Amino acid sequence: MAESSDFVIRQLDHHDTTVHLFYLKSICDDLKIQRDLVLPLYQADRAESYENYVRSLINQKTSSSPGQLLERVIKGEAIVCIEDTFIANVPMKKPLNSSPGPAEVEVSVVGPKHAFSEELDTNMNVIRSRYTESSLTVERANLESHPKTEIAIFYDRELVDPEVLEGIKKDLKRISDHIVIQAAGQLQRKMSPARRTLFPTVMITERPDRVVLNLSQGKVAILVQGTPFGIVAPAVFYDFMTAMDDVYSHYWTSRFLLVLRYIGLFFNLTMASFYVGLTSYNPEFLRVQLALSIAGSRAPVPYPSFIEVLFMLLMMELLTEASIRLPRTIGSTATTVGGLILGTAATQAGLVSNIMIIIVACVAISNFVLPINEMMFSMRVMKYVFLGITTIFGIMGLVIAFIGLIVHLTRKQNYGRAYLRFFAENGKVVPRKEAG
Amino acid sequence: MKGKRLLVLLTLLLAGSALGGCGFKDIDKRFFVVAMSVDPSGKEDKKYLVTVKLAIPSPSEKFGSNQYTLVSEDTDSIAQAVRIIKSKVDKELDLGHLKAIVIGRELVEKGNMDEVMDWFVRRRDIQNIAWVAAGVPDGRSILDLRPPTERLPSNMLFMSFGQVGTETAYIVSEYLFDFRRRLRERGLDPILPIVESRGDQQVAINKVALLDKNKMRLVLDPLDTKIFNSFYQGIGKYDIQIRQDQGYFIISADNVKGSFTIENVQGKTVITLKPHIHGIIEEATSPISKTELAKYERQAEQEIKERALQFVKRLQQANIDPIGFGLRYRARHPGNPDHVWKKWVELYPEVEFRVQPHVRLTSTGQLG
Repeated sequence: MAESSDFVIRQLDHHDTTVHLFYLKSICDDLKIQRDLVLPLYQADRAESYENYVRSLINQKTSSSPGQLLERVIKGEAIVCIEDTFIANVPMKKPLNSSPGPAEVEVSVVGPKHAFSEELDTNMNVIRSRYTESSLTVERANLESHPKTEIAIFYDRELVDPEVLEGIKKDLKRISDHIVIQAAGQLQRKMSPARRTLFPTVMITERPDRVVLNLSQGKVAILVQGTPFGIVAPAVFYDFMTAMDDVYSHYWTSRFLLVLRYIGLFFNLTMASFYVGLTSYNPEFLRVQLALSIAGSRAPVPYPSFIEVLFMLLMMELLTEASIRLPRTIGSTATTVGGLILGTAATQAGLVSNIMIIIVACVAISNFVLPINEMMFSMRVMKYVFLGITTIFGIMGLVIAFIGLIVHLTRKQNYGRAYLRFFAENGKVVPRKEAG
Repeated sequence: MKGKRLLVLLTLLLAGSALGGCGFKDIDKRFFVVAMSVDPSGKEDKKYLVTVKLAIPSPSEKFGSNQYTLVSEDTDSIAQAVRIIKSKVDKELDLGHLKAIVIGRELVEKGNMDEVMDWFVRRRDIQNIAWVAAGVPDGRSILDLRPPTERLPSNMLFMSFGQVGTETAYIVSEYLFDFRRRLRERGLDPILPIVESRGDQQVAINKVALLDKNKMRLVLDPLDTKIFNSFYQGIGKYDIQIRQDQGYFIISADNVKGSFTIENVQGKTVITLKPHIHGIIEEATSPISKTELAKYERQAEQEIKERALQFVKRLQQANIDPIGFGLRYRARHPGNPDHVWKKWVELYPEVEFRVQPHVRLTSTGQLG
């Protein structure tokens, strides 16, 4: 430990007492140490009174074994040794990024504006101050990763389903990894019993109001040190289709938006497949006017429809990916160049048909209607499965793929909950969002 | 285990791809047959002249972009003709959008409609909601029209028959499934709207050919077509001319619905027609008074009664039954169907017709 240049050992002498302070300069608050640990020593008249003072410091825990002490130092605590007889560790951590920033991923129109911060203590504060019930329980734990990550599990003692809680804790205990866990998404992946599932079984959110709402519905929330995202479990399909604004706005407007989201989901999944199925298998499905106009616009395209669709979708995905990673100032340029110029040029060059551009735009935009990121990504991948099946089997294949998707989702279990269920849920199930 | 499952999935997928019903064929590799006509062949040894109208798609549809080609073939059977036509074009024929079937007038007069229609009904990819019509002078010349107002080839026929564009009581539309039904059903005889080419790439559709189970028996003029249509489709936008003193007035009806009853009155079978007409006066040669609407209603009823009676008597004389009196009779009389039918065939020429029109005028068509 002494090899580290930020490790500080200070020796303080007063009267005939010698006090040693050990701490890491990089993560501890120097000013605070000076004020709370150094100054009182020189103000104290006897060694005992200083010892009593240190004892009174909040959060002070006395540990003895050297290993534990070392861990304390790493966590940002200062070790106080008085004459080799009394050892205490006092938290002196300088908090980083402790102020919550504005919500950026899940934007709400009329809801609370702030997201979580990256500091676990601040986040606990946020949740406690929003969820003012004595039944709210917080359990802090460390993940078995390397280095260990601190997490906090929140639940309402009176509402939570003990089986679900037990299941989640078991999943958390199961995690043992050599890689550090730094994000909620990573934790979610490690937690999930099915390693390669496409559909998220827990929800990742940056909104404290969503976490609190879910807690009040008896769900369990997990916050990870160092990330402004929290995990809410268990989550079912419907949870991924709701935005917080659904709860905040009028009944009919929120219903309308909900329906709009399902329409968007349907478009996103099936539009590209419909194009292939209708142009290559069942053109009689279309009106004759549209059939002829598609045929006309496809005339210069030399490739079969599914290659045309794949090409355009690939372009769209590249564009989306590029604009996510690019800095905001360049991002708009990229989308303009990509979206407008490429679209027009591709049609003029005879690579894709006019109708295709409309479809790709519709697919791309409808994907962003989904409020939760994970579901958005799942559906982005899912549409290629649909496209593949439709390319081989036509419209019938599309219908069967859709039925298959619904079967898969209904069959899926999530801590004893059906992932997708169409009708009223039974009493054991965590109550879903009550809008209004 | 995992590899095995993947293998099974892959095999299924491969096997499935071999099954893929109608097969992958891009829309630009297909020729859409939008209309088809059957005429008697000019050749001695052949029965039919089959013509298909193939739409040539244009990337930007506008008025006048109705490009098409006609391909004809003389054969004995329609199926054969279509196969030969396939060898004459470079793309796959797609009959999924065949929405108009025009049968040449000569062929309708010659008869044997059941045989002609058999292929159209049996063929799986022809939609049964295709419209059937008789073409004058012949089917091919109806197909070979290029009205400058069309956006797609044959769209004029679709718009007229579908009543999507023009809405008029003079156009009777007949679906393929209904035509087939009428060809087979006892007590309901087939009809065919007549499409007439009237020069300058235009058509007129305002007559109806009435058929017995085999061939054409009667052609209704536009006025009778209108009366018939009220029993057939019950269409709005209907005009009725009523004679009055020296002049006339015209009722524009929003809704005309004809119904009928069959009763046995003192041992005689009586069919009572009950046309219901709601409308306003649209044109008049002499001043019309609002207070006398009831009087005009009576006048109109009298006139309609005469005309309708005339119309059904003509049907009775020709011994055809496109309105379905026989079907109603069969439905209401239990017993051995063959006996009931035989009895109706004997009864029909003797049936007495009565007309009880009900006219309601809501306005004189003027303010105040």
